[in-house]
Amino acid sequence: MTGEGKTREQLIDEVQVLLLRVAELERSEAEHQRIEKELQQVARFPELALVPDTAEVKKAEERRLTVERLATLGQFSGDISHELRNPLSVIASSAYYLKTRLKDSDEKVREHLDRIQSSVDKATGVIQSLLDLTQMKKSQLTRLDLVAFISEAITMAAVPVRVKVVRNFPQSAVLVNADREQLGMVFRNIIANAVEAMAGRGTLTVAIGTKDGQAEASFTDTGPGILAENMDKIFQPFFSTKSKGIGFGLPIARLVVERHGGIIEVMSAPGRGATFTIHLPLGADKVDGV
Amino acid sequence: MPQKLTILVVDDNDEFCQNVKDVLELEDYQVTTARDGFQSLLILKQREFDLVLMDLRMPVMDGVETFKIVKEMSPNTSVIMVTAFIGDDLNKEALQAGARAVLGKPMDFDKLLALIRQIIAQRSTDTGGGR
Repeated sequence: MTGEGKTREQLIDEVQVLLLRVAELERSEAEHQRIEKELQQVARFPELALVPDTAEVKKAEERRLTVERLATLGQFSGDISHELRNPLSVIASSAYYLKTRLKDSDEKVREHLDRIQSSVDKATGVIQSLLDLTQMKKSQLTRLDLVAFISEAITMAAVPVRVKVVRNFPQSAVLVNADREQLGMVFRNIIANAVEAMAGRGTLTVAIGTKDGQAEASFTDTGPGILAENMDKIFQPFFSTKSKGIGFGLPIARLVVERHGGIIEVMSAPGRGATFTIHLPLGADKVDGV
Repeated sequence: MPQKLTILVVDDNDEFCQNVKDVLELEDYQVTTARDGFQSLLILKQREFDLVLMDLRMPVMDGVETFKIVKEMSPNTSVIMVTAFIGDDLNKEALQAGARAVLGKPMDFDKLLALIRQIIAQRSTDTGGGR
């Protein structure tokens, strides 16, 4: 019998569950193999696994600090938004006035005024993204069938004709309790990222299923994949490898999924595309707060 | 000759107020400005306007508070609210109180001008009331 009155077998089981959880969060095949070896080691010497993995502790601490920073930013983002929108309003209204007044002037003048307007639109978009990230509205939960919901998201995404969409969907519904608007945003972001990664040509495989009491939806593209050094960064705000965009899509997606009690993970290797998998708790019979 | 549409623009940002006045005057509307709710009520006491374009959040007296009084003083005046606080609860309150629309800042002037043309069209077909 070990400490806390647990048997050796119970201790092995608990540690195996914890390590399997760590394995789920890992992103590369090499890590999976490493964890498997550890499992075998733990089965022989369970006491060794009780030493905390400092790398995992550090990651958890970084995530906690990020959430705290976002919460602080959220308190001020409404005021920041207001303070920025007002001068942008003056710039936009002056540009509009000049465009109307000078509508018969030369093309160069109109071009400059158009640039002013489009830059104001971009800045306004950044402000709205910041608000979306830091001031997410309270979720309005409804029961959703992921199969129907994701089918709709794919249709609404207007995927280019050169992107083949392969659907591995179950025959029966996969029910979750989720905020329709927020979850819709998650899937739209992931589909848009996949299409952009493939430069408008390739195969997007979408699979839906259930595993261990959780709903799973995965999106696999045939793009160039994600560089190993970027794997930890893609969920950070302002990180983007795209020519356009400010890198809020995936941080917002992760925030939404985690607020729904789920996790989002990615697997990728250069030249082998990327798979984003979203795990969500399966829907209960009754939904609170609807 | 039909009378020009009269518009009162109320905003504590002087530059924005002046810009909106300039844009609307290009469309041949008759525009007066006020810098807060209180000043706007003093102006409305002297004369009626077809439309009031009002910032939702202002010092001294905010837009919704002012709007409710405007509605009592001039029930035929249309009111469009403007706000830099998108998604604010005041937006819903303004619409529930009867505001014609709540527009975000930076303002979409094409949308504003289309709304104004709708108001004019409605007034010209309204046989019962209005100016």
